[in-house]
Amino acid sequence: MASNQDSPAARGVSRPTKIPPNTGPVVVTSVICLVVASMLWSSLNSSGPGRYMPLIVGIPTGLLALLTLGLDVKALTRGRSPGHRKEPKVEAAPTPAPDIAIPTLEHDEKHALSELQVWVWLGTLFALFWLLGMVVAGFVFIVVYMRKAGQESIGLALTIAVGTMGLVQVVLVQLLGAQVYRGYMMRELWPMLVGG
Amino acid sequence: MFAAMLEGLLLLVDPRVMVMILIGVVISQIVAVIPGLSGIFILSLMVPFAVVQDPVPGIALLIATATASATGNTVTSIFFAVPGSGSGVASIFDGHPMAKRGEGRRALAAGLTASAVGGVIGAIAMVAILPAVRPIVLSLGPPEFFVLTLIAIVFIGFIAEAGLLRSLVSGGLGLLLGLVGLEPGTSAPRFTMGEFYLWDGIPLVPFMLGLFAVAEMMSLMREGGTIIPAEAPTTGTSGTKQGILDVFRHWRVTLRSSVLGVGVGLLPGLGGAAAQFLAYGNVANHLKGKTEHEFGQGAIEGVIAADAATNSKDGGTLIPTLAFGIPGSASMAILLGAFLMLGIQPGRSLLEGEGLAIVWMSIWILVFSNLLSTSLVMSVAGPLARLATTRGTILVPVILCTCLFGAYLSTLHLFDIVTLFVFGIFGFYLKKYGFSRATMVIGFVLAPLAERSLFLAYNIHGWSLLGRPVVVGLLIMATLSLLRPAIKQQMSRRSRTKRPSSTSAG
Repeated sequence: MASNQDSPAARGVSRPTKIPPNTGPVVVTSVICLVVASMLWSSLNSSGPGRYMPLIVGIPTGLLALLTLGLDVKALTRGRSPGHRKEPKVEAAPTPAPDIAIPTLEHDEKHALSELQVWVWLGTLFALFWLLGMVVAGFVFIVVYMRKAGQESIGLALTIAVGTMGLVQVVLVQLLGAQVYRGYMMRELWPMLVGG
Repeated sequence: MFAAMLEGLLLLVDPRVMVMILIGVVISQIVAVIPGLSGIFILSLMVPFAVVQDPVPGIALLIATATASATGNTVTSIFFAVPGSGSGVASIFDGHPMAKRGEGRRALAAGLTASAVGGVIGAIAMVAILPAVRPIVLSLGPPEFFVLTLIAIVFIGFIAEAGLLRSLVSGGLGLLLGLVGLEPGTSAPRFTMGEFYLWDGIPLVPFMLGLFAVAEMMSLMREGGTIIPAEAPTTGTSGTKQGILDVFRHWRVTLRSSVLGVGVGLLPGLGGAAAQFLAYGNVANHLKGKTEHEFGQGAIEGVIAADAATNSKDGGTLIPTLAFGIPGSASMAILLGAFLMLGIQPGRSLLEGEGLAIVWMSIWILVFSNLLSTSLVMSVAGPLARLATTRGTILVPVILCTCLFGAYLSTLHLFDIVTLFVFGIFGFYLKKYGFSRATMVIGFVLAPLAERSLFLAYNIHGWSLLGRPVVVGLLIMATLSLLRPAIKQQMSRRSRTKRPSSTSAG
C-alpha cells in the first residue's frame, strides 16, 4: 500500500495544473461561421444586384472567421493533449476586446450569479413582459430581483420599483404620450374575462 | 451679414424663446438618460408642441431639443456603458474604461466640454461655409459617400490592435447584419427569413441596446458588485477641472474631430454615428501609441474625439437642411417637416434678406443650447458619478427594464424585445471571448449607407467612380493615414540600426 510519503506532494513534485478546456471561444466562433455561411449561401442562390454587397463583405469575413475558428480549435486541443505540462499558450486568446474590458472590480461572491441563473432571470423578465406588459412587469421584476438575487430590503425594492415605473408611466406615457406594451393578459385574456 | 447676425441675436431676447430653449434642453436631458430614447424620439415628441407656437419659439424648441439630446447620451455611455442612441456608442469606447478607473468625472467633464466646444465650432463652421455650401455639397455624390463609409469602417477595424482578427470578424459580421432587409436596387427581401418584421432591417435601437446595455448588465449579474468600483479613487471637482482642461490641452484633437464632424454632417445621409466613428477612428489612428492609455482602454483623447464630432455635426447637418431643404439626418428630416409646418421655407429665400435672421437665430440657439445643456449636466456630475457606484442588484433590474422600454418604442413591435435579448446574449459572449462589439455596431450602422452609395455610384458612373478626383484623393489620404504608423516605425528602426554602425566607425 502506497504511503502518503510516496505521494507527489510529499516528494515535493508539483503536478502540472489541469486547465479545464474552454470550449466557449470555439462555440462562439462556430456560430459566427454558421451565420456568415448561411448568408453567403443565400446570396449565392439569389439573383439580382442585391447579392453583390453580401458577397463582397461575406467572403473575406467568412475566411477570417474560419481562420479564427482554426486558431481557437488549435488552442483548445493544445490544452487537452495528454502529458501536457506547460500552460497552454492560447494564440487566439480571448483577451478582452479593447472596446470595453471585463470589469476588474472586486468580485462580489454573495451577489454573483451563475450563467444559468442569468439566463433564467432574463427568461423570467421576457415572460413577465410578454404576459403583464411593460409597467407591471417592470415593477414585479424589480421587486423580485432585488429581493431574491440582491437580498435587498422589501422597502428599498418597492421604492425603487415605484420610482422607476412611476417615472415611466407619468413622464413618458401620460405626459409625452409614449406607447407601452400592455401585455398578453391585458390585451387578450382580460377582455375575454370581462366580456364573459 | 452683420445686421442679420444682430437681428438673429435679438430674436433670442424674447422671453418665450428663452423658455422654449430651456424646456427643450431640460426635457432632452431627462429623456436622453433612458437607454434607447434617441434624439429622434424626443424630437418627434416635441413637434406637436412646437408647431402650435409662433415660428420663432417653435424653431427654438426644436433646435434646442435636437442639440441637447446628444449631450445626454454622454452620461449613460460613460457611467453605465449604455448608449442612449447610435451616436452615443463611441463615447463608451474610452469613457467607460475611464469611469472604471475612477476617472468618471474627468471623462464626463471632458466629453461635455468637447460637446460644447464642438457645437460652437459647428456653429462657426456653419457661418463660414454657408455662402460656399452649394458647390461643396453638389461636388460630392454617392462615390464619395461610399468611400467615406468604407474609410470609417476600415479605420476602426485597424485601431483594435489587441484583437485585430477578431475585430475584423466582428466588423464583417456587423456589415452583413446591416444588410438584412430590402435590397436597395430591387427592394426584394434579403436575409429576412420570411419575416415581415425584418423588411426594414434589424432595428438599430434594440440591436445596440442588446449588444451593449443588456450584455453589460449580464456581466454585472455574473460578477456582482458595482459597475464602477466603490473604492476606486474619485477625483471629485479636481477631476471635473482636469476634464475641462483636457479639451483645451488636446486642442488639436478637439479641432480635428470637430472639423471632421462638420464635414460629415454636411453630407446628407451619413448621420451622427458616422461622424463619431470617422472622427474617433481618424484620431485614434493618428495618435496610436502616443497616448497615456491605449485607445479603447481609457484614452482621454478618445472621449474628446467622439463627443466633439457628435455635436459639431449638428452645425454641419443644419447647412444642407436650411440651404437646400435636404435633411442631413433623420432628426433633420423631422426638423425640416416642422419648419414647413411653421411656415418657413428652406432654400434660397432663407439665405437672403429677412430669412437670414432665422438662420442666424438657429446658429445662436445651437451655441446656447450646447452651453446650457453642458452646464446643466456638469452641475449634476457628482450625483451622477455616485449613481454609477450603486450596487448592481439595484442597477441591473432598473436598467434592464428601461432598456425594454426603449427597445419597444423603436418600432412598437414585440419582436424588438426578442431582438434585444438575442443580441444581448450574443453581445455577452462576444465580450467574454474577445470579439469587438464596437466594430460590429459600426459595420451594422454603416452597411446600408455603404451599399446604397455603392449601388447609386455604380449605376451613375460605372467603374469610373474609382477615377473621380475626390474619391482618389480620399483613398490616398486614407491609405497614407493607415500606413503612416508602419512607415514611421520602419524609419525609426532604420535610424536605430544606422546609429550603432556610425558610432563604431567613429
